[in-house]
Amino acid sequence: MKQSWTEIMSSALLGTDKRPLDISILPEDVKLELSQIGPQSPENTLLKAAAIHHFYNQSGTEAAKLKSDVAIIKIEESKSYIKRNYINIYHRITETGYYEKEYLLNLWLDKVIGQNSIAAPEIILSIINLGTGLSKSTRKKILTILGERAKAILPLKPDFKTKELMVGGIDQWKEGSPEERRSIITDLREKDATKAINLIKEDWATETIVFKRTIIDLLSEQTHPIELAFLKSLYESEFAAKPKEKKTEIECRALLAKSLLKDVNSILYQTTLHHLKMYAGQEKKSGIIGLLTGSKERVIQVPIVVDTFFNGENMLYMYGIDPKNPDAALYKTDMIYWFSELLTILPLSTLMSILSKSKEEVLEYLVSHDDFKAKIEGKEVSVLLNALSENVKNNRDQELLDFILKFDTNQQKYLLLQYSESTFYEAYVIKEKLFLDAQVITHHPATNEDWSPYFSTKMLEATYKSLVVDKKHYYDKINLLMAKHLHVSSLSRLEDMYQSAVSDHYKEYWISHVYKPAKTSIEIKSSISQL
Amino acid sequence: MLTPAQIQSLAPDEPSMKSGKGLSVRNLWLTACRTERSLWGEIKGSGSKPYQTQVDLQNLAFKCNCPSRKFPCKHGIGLMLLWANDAFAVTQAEEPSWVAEWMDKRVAKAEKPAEPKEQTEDDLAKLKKSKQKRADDRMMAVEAGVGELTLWMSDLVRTGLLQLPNKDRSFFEKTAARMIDAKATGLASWVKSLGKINYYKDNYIWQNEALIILAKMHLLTTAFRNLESLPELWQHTIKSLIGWNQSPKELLADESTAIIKDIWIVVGQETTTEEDIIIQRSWLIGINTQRSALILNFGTRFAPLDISVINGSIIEAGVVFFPSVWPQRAVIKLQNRVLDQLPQSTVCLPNIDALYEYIAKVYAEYPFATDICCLVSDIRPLSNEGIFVGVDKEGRYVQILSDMETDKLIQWLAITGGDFYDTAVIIRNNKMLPLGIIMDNKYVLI
Repeated sequence: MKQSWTEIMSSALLGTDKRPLDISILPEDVKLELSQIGPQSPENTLLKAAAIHHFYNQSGTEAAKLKSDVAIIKIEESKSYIKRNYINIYHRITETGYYEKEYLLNLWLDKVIGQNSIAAPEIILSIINLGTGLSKSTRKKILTILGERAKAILPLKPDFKTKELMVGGIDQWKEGSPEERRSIITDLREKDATKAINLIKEDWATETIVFKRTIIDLLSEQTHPIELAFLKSLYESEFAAKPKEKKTEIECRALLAKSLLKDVNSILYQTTLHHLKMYAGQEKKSGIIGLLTGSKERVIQVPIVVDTFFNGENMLYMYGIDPKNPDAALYKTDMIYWFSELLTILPLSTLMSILSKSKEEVLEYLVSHDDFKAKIEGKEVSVLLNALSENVKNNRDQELLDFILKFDTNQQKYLLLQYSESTFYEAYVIKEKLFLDAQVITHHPATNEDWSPYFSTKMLEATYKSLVVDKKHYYDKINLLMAKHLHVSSLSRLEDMYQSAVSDHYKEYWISHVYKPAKTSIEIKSSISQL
Repeated sequence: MLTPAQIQSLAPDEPSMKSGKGLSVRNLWLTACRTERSLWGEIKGSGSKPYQTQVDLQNLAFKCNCPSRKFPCKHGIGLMLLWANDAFAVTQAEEPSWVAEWMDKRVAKAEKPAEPKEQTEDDLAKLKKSKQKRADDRMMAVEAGVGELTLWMSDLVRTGLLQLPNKDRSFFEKTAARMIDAKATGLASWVKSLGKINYYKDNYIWQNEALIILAKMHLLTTAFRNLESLPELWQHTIKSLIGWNQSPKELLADESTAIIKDIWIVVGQETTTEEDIIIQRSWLIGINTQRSALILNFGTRFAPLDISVINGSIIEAGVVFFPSVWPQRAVIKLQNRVLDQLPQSTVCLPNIDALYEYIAKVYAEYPFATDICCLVSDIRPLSNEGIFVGVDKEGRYVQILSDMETDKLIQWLAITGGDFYDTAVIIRNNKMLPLGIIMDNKYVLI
């Protein structure tokens, strides 16, 4: 059959003018049919032969058979599927907005994981598709609730990046990408810090310098006591200062110094304390009090010329600080710059001890003493303020943050709020009435939990007043965050506002942008909590 | 009861579905009640009075007094979803007057179609004469068109198909337009399909596709020239393929047409757009008669599709078929009720060998068959050397249509878990398009 079809095709392609169909090569049945029709033009003969041949072929095709016997592989599940009420809530979650969806999904996933159930077949595809593009931690949870049949499907959904989630295996640690290997350590540190540090040590000698920096960065962020010895050994040997260092090596030393300075028992901390103590001195108190009482206060007398401690080489060798002063107008001397850099990583308790002052007094001293002030564009500025802000990030010092927020007039100070604790943050926002300041609200430290009931109500009231009463729009992202974070207890207040008599464009806007998404989200949260 | 996926297929667009889902929460509805035949609810809207939303469950239809021009509106979708997600959210109650009136009217209309206007004998004679004249004129036009097309095809074959990739679009469009002028729209579609072939594809593929289309066109035009010598049923069939319209209204009005009463599964649905016309194809399979039926729905951007045929639903209905050698196209004449599940097991083709026998039988009866819809026992999805196939217990398989969406294939794998299920399929160009499976007496769409 195949050969005759090729013959028909050749005539059709070249044209019957050039190559009329030779019917003698056609199968007998086709020839018989053609002969019954009678004499035809070459074109008609060809088309008829093609038609008969095609239909014979089409209807005579037999089913193909697999080469090997098909084993009846029914995928058995060891866990039970989630119940209908879980599925209904899941469907509601899929309809929510981008901001609250992943958060709600995580709440739901936690419940399903707690129940030790797996996703029902009808939502497998949907949840894999939903998970694609969400964070790794969410995808990990999704993976946990996928049963055997879902896992059999995952290779067909490469965008879900399953491989990236299968962390922990020794093979992946040995052969994975830097990102995967970092994940392995992050996960392992949470479960078993000893095992994690042993794994790091095992292959340390063969790691690239860039990956070493990644690991040191990870460890220095929040150092586990068991990791200190390893970091200390790195600081003292591999990353101790040496000639012709690479930039990444210096960065590693800076990270190690940051980490070791947090440990009051470390040699680095003790050495630093010892050196700084030598700069402690006394001077007459400034202002009228000083004149009247003649009393003195303890100060840090940062040298005006380089010495054995405050010198570029020492700063580089000990702390990985770039010796070059980047802003001569701000930092009058290199020594002030180095002191400022040191202040970014040094716990304030060090200075409290040296100066025998309370934290507040130390801070007051650091930002108001003339030695630490400069004139920029005619304005007097505190040169150590940036260093203190950095210190908030490195040491999460709430008192320091409170002080900076009071002192600093720069709008950027609000960015530090993300390093505060939720209670501190909320109290501050309420006190300062910053509800409509998008820069502040978007930096609520509780990124994956509900706001407190009181703060939620306050947010609702402030946004309602702005939109519906004062008819003033604000940055829409605040609404999105409310949909995600409002506490379930704020539903009654939300309903009260909805029922209020006002009805205009602004109220409609409030209904569609605040009320509906927030209500849906709260209802979903309530349903999840009742599961 | 409809599933959320079926309700989704009724939504006019994505935003309506999304809004509907938002409204599928019980405490948003002041009332939400139902009877066997109807579902209704009241919901607070932007007006002073609540909107009244109602659904005819037997012969699916929606009504709502909200100002939305979408159909069904978000309230109709929301109410249906509310019921689908939680049957207890909707209480059994007696229909209030505003629901009963609408439902009674619908039932009366379904049972007794509008009586035709009375006509005198003279009127009837005139009508007959003009109808005959129109038929004669059309026949002449089509005959001329068929002659022209025969010549066009002969020229193509005489000079060779290798020239086809070099022809620009107008070459096919001009001939298609000539066929439309000749009132042979069916032939025009064949010509267009020849123009739509991807000539940059593998040579073997386009050459086969082109020659098969030409061969079928030749068969059809030859059959048309021999029309008078053919049996009546073949005449109907050929004329319909050439482009004679089939009027559902006339079919429904014709008392002599047999009504095939059965429990029908709407096994699949496909919506395509051709030149601004939305065409919805719904395939039905009768579980007692084992017949398949194709319901065509047409819409435009301004006239939405009829939504009464819901994909995946099981309906007890009477269906009438347009006369054909292989009757497939049909219209639902009366629909009694929508069933939650199959009342009995369905009879399927036992395996893929039997499926091939059935296909051969269909082609023998009707060589122009395109989509052959049937139920086959115990089929499972399998990736065979990187190609997806539907395989039976004996290891016989049919390749899955390559343009089937990957997500649908995955859904098939997810639902079946690799197990064998009775499966509704369409055979198109000797490849398989799985539509749904029968699981626990329910029909589950893929």
